[in-house]
Formats: sequence, C-alpha cells, structure tokens
Amino acid sequence: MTAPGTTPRAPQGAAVPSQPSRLDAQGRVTVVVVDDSVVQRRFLRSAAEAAGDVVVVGEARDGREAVALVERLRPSVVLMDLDLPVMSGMEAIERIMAGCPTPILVCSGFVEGAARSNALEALSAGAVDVLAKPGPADAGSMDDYADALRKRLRVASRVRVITHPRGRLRGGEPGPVRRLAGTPTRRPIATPAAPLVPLRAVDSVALVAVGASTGGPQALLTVLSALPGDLEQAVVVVQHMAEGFIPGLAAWLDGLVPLPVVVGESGRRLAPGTVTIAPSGGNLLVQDDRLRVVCVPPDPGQFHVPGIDATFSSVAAALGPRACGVLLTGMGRDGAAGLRLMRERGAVTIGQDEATCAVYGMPAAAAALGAVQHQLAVDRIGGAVLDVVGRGSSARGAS
Amino acid sequence: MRDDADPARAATRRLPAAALAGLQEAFVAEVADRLPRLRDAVDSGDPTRLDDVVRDAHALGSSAAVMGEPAASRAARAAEALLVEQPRRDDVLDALRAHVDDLARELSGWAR
Repeated sequence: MTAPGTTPRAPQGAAVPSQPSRLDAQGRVTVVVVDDSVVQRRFLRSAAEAAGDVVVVGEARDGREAVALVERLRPSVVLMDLDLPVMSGMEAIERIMAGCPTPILVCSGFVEGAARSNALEALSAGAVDVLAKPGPADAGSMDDYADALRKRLRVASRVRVITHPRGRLRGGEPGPVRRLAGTPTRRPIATPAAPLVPLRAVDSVALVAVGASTGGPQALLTVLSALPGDLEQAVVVVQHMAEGFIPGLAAWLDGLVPLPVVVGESGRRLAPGTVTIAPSGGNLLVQDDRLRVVCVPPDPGQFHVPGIDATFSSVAAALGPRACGVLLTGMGRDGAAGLRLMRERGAVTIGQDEATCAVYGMPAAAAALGAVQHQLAVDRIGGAVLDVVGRGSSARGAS
Repeated sequence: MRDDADPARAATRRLPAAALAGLQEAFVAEVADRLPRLRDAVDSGDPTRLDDVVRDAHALGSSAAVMGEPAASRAARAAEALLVEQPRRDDVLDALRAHVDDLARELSGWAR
C-alpha cells in the first residue's frame, strides 16, 4: 500500500497534548464514515470495528450528509472520501473545520500518483491525515490495511483541531461538485499573539530552518507566503511526510509562494532565495557554512522521517548564530531538542503558538525545553523571520 | 472472477472476518448498479455521459480490491484513468471499451 500524507510512523501518546475527550462512554474512538459506495462504507466499518476500541457511530453518503451528521453526533474522527456527490469531500472538510472542528482522516482513491495534490489540498483544508483507498495491490492484504486504518484512526482521534476559517467564507448551499486535483486557495489563518521577547535583526543570517508535522502544509503555506521572492537567505524545510509525497508538496508550494521551492539532494548546496524541502526516507544535514547538505539514513528507531532534530542540530553546528529556527505545528517532540541546540548556539528561534497549531505538540515540547525565544501565531511568523533577517517592516521604514 | 474460487471463498481468504458481513450482497448490488451505467456510457461515446461515470469506475476499482478481485480492480482503475483524460479520440474509446470488457469478465461471477 502506498501510504499517506502527513503522518507519524506510529501513534505516540505521551507527547500529545490532552484535550476534551472525544471518546464514548466505553472509551472507544467514535467514527463517522463518509463514502457514496455502500461496499466501502461496510468495509471501512468492519475494518475499523474489528479490534473493539473503535466504533462507527454514523455513515453518510455525500458531503452534505456528512456535515450534518458530524454536527449532530460529534464523533472522535471523520473518515472522509473526497469524490462525493451533492457536496464534494473537500468542501465538506472545509465546512466541518469551520463549524464543528473534528479530526478528519481522508480515505480516498484520489490521493496518489497524479492526484497527490488532492492530498495536500485536503490537508490544507484542515484534514489531519490522508490514507489511500484499497487498490489492486491491497487485494491480498486486507488485514494489513485494516490494521493500518485503525492505527490512523486512533492517532487522528488524539489530534487537537482548531476552527479553520476557509469554510466560513462559503455560503449555505454547497458549491458545484468539481473534479478533483484542483488548485488550492491561499487563505492564511489570522490569530494575534505577542512574542515572548522583542525580535531583533541579526547580522548575516544565512539560513532559515523550518520544521513541521501534522497540519504542516497549511502552516508552511502561510509562513512561506510572507517571504518575498528576492529573499537573500536560504530556507530549508523539514516536513514529516510519508515516502513519495515530498515532491508533490514541493510542487504545490512552488506554485503558491513567491520563492522557488525544490527538493533537497545530497551533495548540493542550499541556494539563497530558495526553499529546499528535505527529501523523504532519511535526514538532511547541513554540513558547513557554505550550506552544503548531505542526506543520511535515519537513526535506528528514529520515529519521524525525515527528522527535524537531525537537521536543526546540524544547522546549529554549522551556522551557530547565523541561522533562524522555526518549529511549526505537529504531534510529538521532534525538533524540540534541535531547536534548543540552535538557540544555545545563538540562533533566533520561533515556535508556533498553541492557538494556531493543528497539533500543539512539537512547539509545546520546544517551549518546555526553553528552546523557543518567540512564540507566535502562524500568520506572524513570516513577518518575524523578515525582522530577523533585517527585512521587516521596521527595517523597510528606516530605509 | 478467477475460475478457481467463488466470491465467498475469495473474500474469506482476503478480508478480516468481521468485514464479511453484508459485503458480498452490497458488492453484487454495486456491480449491478454501476457496471451497466459504465458500459452504456462507454458504448455511447457521449463526453457528458463519460464524465458522469468516472465515479462508477472509481468505486468499482476500490470495491473490487476490497472483495479480493485485483484483476477487476486493475481494469476499473485503467478505465478510470482513461475517463479522467476525457476520451474523445476513437483509439482511446476503443481502449476504454476493452478495459470495461475486462472488468465485466472479471466480475461476471458477481453479476446478478
């Protein structure tokens, strides 16, 4: 099975922030299944319920039914197809995240190959994870598929979700159901928050290092959209993402943000004025102050790949105070220790605030370690980075 | 469908036991509903009707995989891929018809 978009490789309980329980009285994860195929609904119900700790509490055949059912039943997780009649899955995600924020696991056949952009658009709209529907290659291993589905549902049920504003811009009636693989819209979240300490420009910052996990694509879009096309610094991004999805993420961002976005390669240099995304399957390390990078296999037992801690630690060693570290939304604690190293070596460090995180895990862990100098709403992080590199509003006003 | 297994046995081998209940009946109904619509649209060559049956090909592909019918699933996915590319050329329509024929043959054991 070719897997998913943004997801950890296995559930990680301890580092996940607590939130009001969405479990039922028996402690089970409650699920609403949304699919227009009765075969799929029955299969997903059976697979989800096989272990006893997940229960399907409702089924919807189209997006409009899904929105109403989620509002009424308040499940732990919504298991959502994308290609739906009446109201598309994408629009249903936006409406649910605007009116009744609930973790949504997309289960669709339109998230692989040429349709990978749909996975990113679904994540951008507020879904927390993406799983491909069973395909020909799965026909002999449905037990494995069912196991993976249950794991993903359990993880999704623990994700803290926030109201997503995009759906509020829509009217009451569903829009036309369109063919999938469209272009996402750019609507950054706007939530104010004050920095912990005043920002200051740092001479000769050469690199901005950004780490993200669950909810990361939308947060990256917001942050990178604020960076101008003539930025002189290099930007490196580590986004937890399953094998095969990084090129799609890079292409998606490249079409939406001012800076060019590429996937990193071992032996190359991080180019100024370019966003380089760490490839999947290993860790991207910055080797020296000329920004040469090498991709190495993950450490034995490493939980998240590519690893943010690995990249941040290498940035701390190679650049010291000539870097700026940014840790965005995500489950777990990857990046926290690396960000602390960066701070200890003199880099400016920024963490996304709780109010705008899809999952306030990694930034919370970093804050607990004392790694975060500036805790900011996601829509303020890009501007803060510009302040650090001397391109902020105060610098522009002075020139 | 393969000659060496009936649908129930194939599903029993491949699905979690709890997934079996009601699935076979639902799949038979889905095949009866979607396959004729898909075939009629392909036979007509009408672009609007072809556009309308992308979801049918897609659903049959996923459901066939769930039911332990990989050959049918592949045929449905191949048909879906051609449908998405807006088949207006005769050669593409011919290829589409061939995939739908394959699909119908693989699912013949599930037809009412």
